[in-house]
Amino acid sequence: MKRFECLKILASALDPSALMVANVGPISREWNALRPSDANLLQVNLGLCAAVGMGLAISLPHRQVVILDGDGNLLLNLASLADMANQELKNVVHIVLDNEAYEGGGGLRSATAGKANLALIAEGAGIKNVHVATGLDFFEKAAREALQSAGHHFVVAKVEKGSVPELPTLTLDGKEAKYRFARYIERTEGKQILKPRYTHI
Amino acid sequence: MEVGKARAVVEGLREAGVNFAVGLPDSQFHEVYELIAEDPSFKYVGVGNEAEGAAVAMGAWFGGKKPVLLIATSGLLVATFSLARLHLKEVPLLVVIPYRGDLGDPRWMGIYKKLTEPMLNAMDIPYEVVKQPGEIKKTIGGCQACTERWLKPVAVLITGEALW
Repeated sequence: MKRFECLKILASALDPSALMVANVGPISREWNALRPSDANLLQVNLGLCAAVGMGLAISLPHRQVVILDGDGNLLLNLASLADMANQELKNVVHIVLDNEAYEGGGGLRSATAGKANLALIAEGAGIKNVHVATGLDFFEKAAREALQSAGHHFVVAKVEKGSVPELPTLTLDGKEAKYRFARYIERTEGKQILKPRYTHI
Repeated sequence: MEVGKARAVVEGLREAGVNFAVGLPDSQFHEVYELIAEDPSFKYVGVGNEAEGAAVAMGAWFGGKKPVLLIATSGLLVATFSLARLHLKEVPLLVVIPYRGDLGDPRWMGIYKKLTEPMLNAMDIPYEVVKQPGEIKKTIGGCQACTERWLKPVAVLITGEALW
């Protein structure tokens, strides 16, 4: 199944107030095309997506945090799964779009093209709600159930390599992404995150 | 390390407003980890590697927390990729490191110490070295204020003389 089709389903099912953390590469570009929003933190670096999502979920336990991850990303920092499981999070939906390749880096195979099974690794790490979707119907069912129920949900979507043509390019850089996301949380949580640098003016 | 000095680190963090601590437990600093894990004014998150830790801290900052990353000099090397990448977004993060490796310490500590300041300089992370126990709290407070205003990681390196 195509990654973009999975993301379309997700965009239609997602609550507008859900916080989304997405990894570098085509995932961020495709997601931005489907749901451009200041509630997205995009282009989180290789291996760090789950960890950033974990920090966010622990700090804002009343907000839903959705993590859009890749197989190569997650493989770099598998310890994140064990650490997340031990936090007993109730507000996380972690979706891995597993195309069995480092697509952003040229398309060479990742370990999941071989013997590695991220769903089994997640279960072994202690995550209970684990699903593997190889078709869009099951992905939609699993994603909707995960988004509508509390808990820590882990969904591996086995997708083909390749994106869609004529996607708008991401024009945000890291700094602008930071300001937009932080200001969104400030507005919706009523708290100050960015401190003014000039307190005398 | 002396428990009184470990308390000075924890009190310094608390007085600086830090309320979220991420770390990979290390033998040099384990009294600090234990005190923080027991202290209700902090949420402590143990992680499996320090690069992950820096990213958890960034997530916590977006969530409105004031995080600290507690890692060893060896852990700094593991965290380097993650810390360097934080600069692309320019987010604050206080990093506190027990700075062993002087003459008389084990050889492996010396190897990591030798790499610490050059790595921080290469990553453009400002730092202060604390040599006396009386400077611990004030330095932590100053570095926390700096990281919030400058929107970049700032490190506190606490030497053996200050801690042991």
